[in-house]
Amino acid sequence: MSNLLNKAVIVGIGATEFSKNSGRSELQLAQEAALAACRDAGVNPQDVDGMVTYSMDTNPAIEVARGLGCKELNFFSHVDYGGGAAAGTILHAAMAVATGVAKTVVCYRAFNERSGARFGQAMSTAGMAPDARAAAYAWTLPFGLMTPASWVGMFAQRYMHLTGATSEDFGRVAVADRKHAATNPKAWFYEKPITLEDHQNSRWIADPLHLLDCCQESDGGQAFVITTPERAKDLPGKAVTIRAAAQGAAYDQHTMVSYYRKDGDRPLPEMGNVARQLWNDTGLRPEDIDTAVLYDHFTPFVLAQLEEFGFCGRGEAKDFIKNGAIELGGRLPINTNGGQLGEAYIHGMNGIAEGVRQLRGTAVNQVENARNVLVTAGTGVPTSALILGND
Amino acid sequence: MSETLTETPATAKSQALRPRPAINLDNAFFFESLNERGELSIQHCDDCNELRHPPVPMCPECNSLHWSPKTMSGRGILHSYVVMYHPIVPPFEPGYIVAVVELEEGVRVVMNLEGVAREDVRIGMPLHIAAERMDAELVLPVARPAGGAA
Ligand SMILES: [Zn+2]
Repeated sequence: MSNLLNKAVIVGIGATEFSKNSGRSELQLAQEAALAACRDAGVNPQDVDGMVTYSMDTNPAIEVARGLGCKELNFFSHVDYGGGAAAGTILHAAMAVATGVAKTVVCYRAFNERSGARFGQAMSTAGMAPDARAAAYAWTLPFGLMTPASWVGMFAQRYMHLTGATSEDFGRVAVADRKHAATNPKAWFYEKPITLEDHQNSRWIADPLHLLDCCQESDGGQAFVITTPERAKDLPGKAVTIRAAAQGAAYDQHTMVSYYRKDGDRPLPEMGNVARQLWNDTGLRPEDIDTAVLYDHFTPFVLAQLEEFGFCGRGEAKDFIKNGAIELGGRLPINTNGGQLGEAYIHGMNGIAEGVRQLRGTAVNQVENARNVLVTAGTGVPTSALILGND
Repeated sequence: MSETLTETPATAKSQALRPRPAINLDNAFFFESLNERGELSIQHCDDCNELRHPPVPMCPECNSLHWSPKTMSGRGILHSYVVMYHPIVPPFEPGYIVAVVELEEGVRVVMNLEGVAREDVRIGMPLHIAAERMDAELVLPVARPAGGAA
């Protein structure tokens, strides 16, 4: 059990617009988002003394800091495993401010993931040195298992076989996300809801995944300012408490392709590890969570996350999500910003911002009296999650 | 498993080659066994007899660094699969199937599933695995329905 409970806050959030072609460099997006977060917090950017981002981000902390004019950095961390690290950045920043290593930390993620290097395209290790990261792809790429959709589709097929979940059950996640995006002016799919029929009729990407099971590719940046509750009292930004944050990997862990575990039939034990830590640290239970942002690069893992966090039993997510349970007004509204299927794919960071807005009472799809919000990071990879709260 | 390599005819349609595996000291044996002997070999712990795949230098069961490749029988069952439509990178063609095959020895390996129509694919179906030459440099295991037409 960690002793980080309520010892750090998110006091500022900032983002660029989310688009398909930002027209500016990833570094500029990072600096714009970071500056916006500082202004939201009421922090002088020159006083930022810590920076956290994560792997696959091309913006070095010192370059972001140069633009902000930071006088000195006392802490910088680059968290591993892509989108799985999103909440991990907040954990690292919280640890830094809670221990006094740093006072004011900016977490950021910015990319041109649609107009630049697209994650949905086929992965290649051509030209890479054959180190352990490249060699791991030897077990998938030569066989044409080259895209995130294909890696997740393999899990999804097995999950359907074991639980009786269907493509329509995956579709219910997409319908909920797009319903929420439809009323979020910042969402790419603003005013563009879909029906279950639209989902079923969308083309195959990696059967059992349809196009509408897959998140968007997006350009944009998102940043946060993390500090202590004491310091936040002197800042104008409305602070939201980081009740707990955790990272997790599990036994025989691989990146996106943990197909080899001896039990074989549990898709996300690494998220189960994170869930156990968050429940133990906070003493909260699933019924205490008012709304959640569950990482939705692909719909099937949203079902598996509901099970790993204990919102329902194993294999029962298909029943849990029926009848609008995950839509606004339901038992557990999820991805009220539209998620990464509906708002934008900013590698999990825009979901953390939505968690903050829900607790500030400023979300476009506000859940009444939200006190505890769960936000998860990338699934299929070593991952992370956090619970934010109002005190 | 067959020691005779099946030639996959190069189509005029595409001269593109499959992605090359990144080979290093930890995984070379797997591709060498396929290329040189037409054998599917899995890493086997010399000290505790544990099979492990994908390979890793240290045995997760006993932490031994002593291992050797062990030839598999070529029998297995379908654990899961995906049918690929987008994006398609040559030489792959739309509708190809990638499978996770559980070998009868207990480990799972990703490989292509061929010789079966999409609608006839069933998780749990028995499979026969054989080494097949993809091009001059690359031999890979391929799964086909057991007992069916090869
Ligand atoms: Zn051993």
